[in-house]
Amino acid sequence: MNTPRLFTVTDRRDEITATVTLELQPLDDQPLPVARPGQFNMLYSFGAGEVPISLSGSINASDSVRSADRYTHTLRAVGKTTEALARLQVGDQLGVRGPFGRGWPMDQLAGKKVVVIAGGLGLAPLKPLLEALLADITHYGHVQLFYGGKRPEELLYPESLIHWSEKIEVQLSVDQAGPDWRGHVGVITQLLASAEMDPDNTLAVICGPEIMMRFTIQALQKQGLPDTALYLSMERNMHCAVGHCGHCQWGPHFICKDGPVFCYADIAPWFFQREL
Amino acid sequence: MKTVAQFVSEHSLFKGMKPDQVDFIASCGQLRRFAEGDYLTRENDPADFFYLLLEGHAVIETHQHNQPPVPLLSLTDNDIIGWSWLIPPYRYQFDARALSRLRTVRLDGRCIRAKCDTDPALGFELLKRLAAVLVQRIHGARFQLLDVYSADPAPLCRPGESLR
Ligand SMILES: Cc1cc2nc3c(=O)[nH]c(=O)nc-3n(C[C@H](O)[C@H](O)[C@H](O)COP(=O)(O)OP(=O)(O)OC[C@H]3O[C@@H](n4cnc5c(N)ncnc54)[C@H](O)[C@@H]3O)c2cc1C
Ligand code: FES
Repeated sequence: MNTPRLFTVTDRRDEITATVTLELQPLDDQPLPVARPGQFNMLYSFGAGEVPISLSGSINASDSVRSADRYTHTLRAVGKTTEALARLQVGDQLGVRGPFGRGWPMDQLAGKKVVVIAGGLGLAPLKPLLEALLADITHYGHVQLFYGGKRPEELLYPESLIHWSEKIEVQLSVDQAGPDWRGHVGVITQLLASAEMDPDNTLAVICGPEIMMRFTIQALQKQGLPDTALYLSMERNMHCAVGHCGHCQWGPHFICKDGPVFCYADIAPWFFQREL
Repeated sequence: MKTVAQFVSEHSLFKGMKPDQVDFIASCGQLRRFAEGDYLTRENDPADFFYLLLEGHAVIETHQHNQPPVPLLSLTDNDIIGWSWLIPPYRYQFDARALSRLRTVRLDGRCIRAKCDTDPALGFELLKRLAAVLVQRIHGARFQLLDVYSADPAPLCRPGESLR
């Protein structure tokens, strides 16, 4: 798992600004390892670098995110490596290591009401989780998705959002909108504050910018959800992705190996520390 | 059918208030319904009233010449619409429009102001509660200004530019 495998881009979709979804297939025709919602791969763009990117693909089994023989990743060009990756075209090659890390707690979600809270690009790592929940919806209680973004046209996966809203409660919130927008204008925490929740039987999964996750945790705590019911995905720079180099160390945790998904009860002492 | 006093006592703004204070506030209120598209407040009109939203969706918005209205904040059950009744010159700063059928309690700001002037305990209690909601709104507005969702794209990618 520590040497990149060669993959080729089999599909490429432009999403919102500077953001693309790539579908990747291995060149060696060997089967892909099982991947779980919330895990990530290290994508290596030759000559540019290697970065962690979450799996955002559809599923073909109850808890795996393989789409047959491919991986799907949605990434935003924010720097040298992600920009090089975002410029890849169908047929181009790249290196892939993974999947790595601990994903969303699929086993613990069964039988529970699930509140999924995403901000901006944070919907990408939650997409496989949502698809797993929808594929087996009778296993879960009520599923709600709260998704916040800057503007309506900056919300990811608009077609999936429509499709999901036919099966689960989907609430969208944007900071700014035009007069035609029928969703919420404001902040996502406002939606959470007025949502009906059953704190004793609900698990919340959260992915988004860290500031948004801090406010979200406070809103969920006000709703009575215990810290043990909150799961979030953390991001830090990575290098080895297997717990050796210490690049991603965060308090006593390595995000690559112990995360990226953590139960808030396990990380609460570090979450509000600024210097980490 | 619930009375105005029941609606007032159950609204998050007044929950836990002393019954005589709730009764007084309710005596300044009336149940009001609005159809989709109706305006509850209009910028610069005298701000005589504020509203407890019981059911439905509304939006606070502003306008620019020859442009469609700009939505600023969505509001729904248990929210409050209107602060300008509290602060001189008592004129609404924004439009508030019903996005669906609305059920509200309309409270007469002049009536409540007059009572608060003679009953400081009620005035202080009410101000503490309104301040808590205002602080929440300020936090929300700051969060919106932070623009947390848009990590700056790489210098070579301008908004809307294709990466092809
Ligand atoms: C577990 C994990 C999963 C991730 N999943 C995804 C994903 O699914 N899709 C995706 O697009 N990204 C994801 N990321 C973030 C991605 O790894 C970084 O954006 C990437 O490492 C940046 O590398 P770069 O060389 O392009 O930019 P750099 O040259 O390293 O940085 C350039 C600029 O981007 C800023 N930057 C760096 N990282 C981030 C970040 N995470 N968010 C915002 N700005 C940043 C830097 O501050 C700098 O200003 C994930 C990160 C982790 C740890
Ligand atoms: S990236 Fe090396 S320890 Fe996590």
